[in-house]
Amino acid sequence: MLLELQKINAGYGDLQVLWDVDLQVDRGEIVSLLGSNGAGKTTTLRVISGLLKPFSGKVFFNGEDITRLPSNKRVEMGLALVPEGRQLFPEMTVLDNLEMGAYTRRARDKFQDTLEWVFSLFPKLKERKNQLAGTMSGGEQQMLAIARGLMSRPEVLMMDEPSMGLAPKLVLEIFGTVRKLREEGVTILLVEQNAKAALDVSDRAYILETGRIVLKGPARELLGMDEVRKAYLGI
Amino acid sequence: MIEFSAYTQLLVSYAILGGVYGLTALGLSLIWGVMKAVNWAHGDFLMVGMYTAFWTVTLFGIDPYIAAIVAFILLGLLGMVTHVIAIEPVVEKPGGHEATLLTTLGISVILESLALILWSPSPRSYQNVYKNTFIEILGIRTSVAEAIAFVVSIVSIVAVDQFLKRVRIGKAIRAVSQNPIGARVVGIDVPKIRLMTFGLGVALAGMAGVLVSTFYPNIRPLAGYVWDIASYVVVIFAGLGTIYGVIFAGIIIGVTEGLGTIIFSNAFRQILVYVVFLTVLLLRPQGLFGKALRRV
Ligand SMILES: Nc1ncnc2c1ncn2[C@@H]1O[C@H](COP(=O)(O)OP(=O)(O)OP(=O)(O)O)[C@@H](O)[C@H]1O
Ligand SMILES: [Mg+2]
Repeated sequence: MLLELQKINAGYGDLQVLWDVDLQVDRGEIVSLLGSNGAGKTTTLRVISGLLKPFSGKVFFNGEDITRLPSNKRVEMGLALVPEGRQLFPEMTVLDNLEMGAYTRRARDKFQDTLEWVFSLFPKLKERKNQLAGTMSGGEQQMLAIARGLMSRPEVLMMDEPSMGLAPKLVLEIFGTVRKLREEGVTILLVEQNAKAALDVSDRAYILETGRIVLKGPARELLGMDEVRKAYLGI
Repeated sequence: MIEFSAYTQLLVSYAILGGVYGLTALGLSLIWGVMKAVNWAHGDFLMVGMYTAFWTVTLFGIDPYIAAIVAFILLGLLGMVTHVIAIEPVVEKPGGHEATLLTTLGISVILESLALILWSPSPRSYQNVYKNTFIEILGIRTSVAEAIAFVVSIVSIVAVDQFLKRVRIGKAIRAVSQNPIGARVVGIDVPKIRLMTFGLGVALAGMAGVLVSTFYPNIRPLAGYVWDIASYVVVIFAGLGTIYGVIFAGIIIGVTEGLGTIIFSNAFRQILVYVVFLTVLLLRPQGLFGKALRRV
């Protein structure tokens, strides 16, 4: 198992958001984490990436207990997050944002190669490499956020609502990229509101409701279940 | 005509002082940008820099500009120790940014008390050739010490700017100041960047202290106050977190202080600074250069 959460309880101050969350991601999989607003998806990713310390429970990566490691060490191990709200460096150029993406020792030496790879995935970024990130359109910023995540040469890339606020055509493009990444050997944990599109690209999925995992299974099975279709696919 | 040139002379002196204000303010501005902390002890670190110059020059007879390097290193270390004691433990807690006001105030009290106990309240100065040698540039006479202080200040500000724009660690400092969450997400060790930034900010104040001590013969434990006020005004005037803004704002504040001396008197020279400052706050609260120039 590449990534594993065991009985994670987490929250903010007195507010508990996650309750006994168990989650597993195997190498080479695309796994979706779905749920309505406020279910705790972003909180789960924060716990995995080390931005939030859980109240209890454990996070394993490559068999190693990383629950207490700071976020920079986790990126160094190959765990990257494309965070909610993109969190770019607005007054730095596209190229500088990408260079910061390759900040870890793991990624530094491969910077030029990774850059070419990322530019081949997102040719638009190459054209705009000297533009300030803050002046790019929402869609371009989302691409930059994904590209910056890839610059760290992750084994697991976690994406928090990459299709958020994008036009349908761009959403297709982003999900196309997700597929392409898997072919390149990147394991993906995807958080999405757009459940249909997410389930279409995923191998497996988890459904989170008010902080608890209520359903899990192969994506195709979930797509066929009535309760999922009603609650998340609006069919 | 004589009057006029005397005034010009005086304004030039204050413009030079303004360059050093800029250097002092740069440290504050970096610290604010990266950890949203207000360093109340900044002027006191500058004072320690002055004493560093005094002691190294009088005890070891070394050149004051070598003392500037000594002070940069020494104060950089002192800054990092201070950071570990006073900033890091509170800065990420709820209300942490306000808490740094109190903890650095504590550091300020400690530094001033220690200086009073160790070095007595009486002002000191040291002899050096630079302040007694004069040069004339474009009809303006100035001491070599002042000319060097100005040039070194500007060069240092430009050097820091280039460091922030070109060097990896410098870019990481900008990344943290622009988006701390983004910085953690890409694997930057944010606490380490905070430590280095605080050290750098204090080191710059220490260096500024040495530069001032070469032409300002008034080294005393409470010498930091005027620098605190001036450099805060410069930072806010420039717009928090701008780099070249601090050069212009520093010079403007220096000249304004000079004009205050001419219009009122030496004792009241800062009145004009406050007037200009309040006007800026009312009309352009984001600072004069806040939008036009890139943030740190
Ligand atoms: N920093 C915070 N401080 C306090 N409460 C928070 C914080 N961040 C999130 N919460 C709360 O935790 C709960 C779960 O939030 P979370 O962001 O994990 O939801 P989500 O599933 O990602 O929702 P969305 O789909 O809207 O992004 C919400 O009730 C939210 O209000
Ligand atoms: Mg969310």
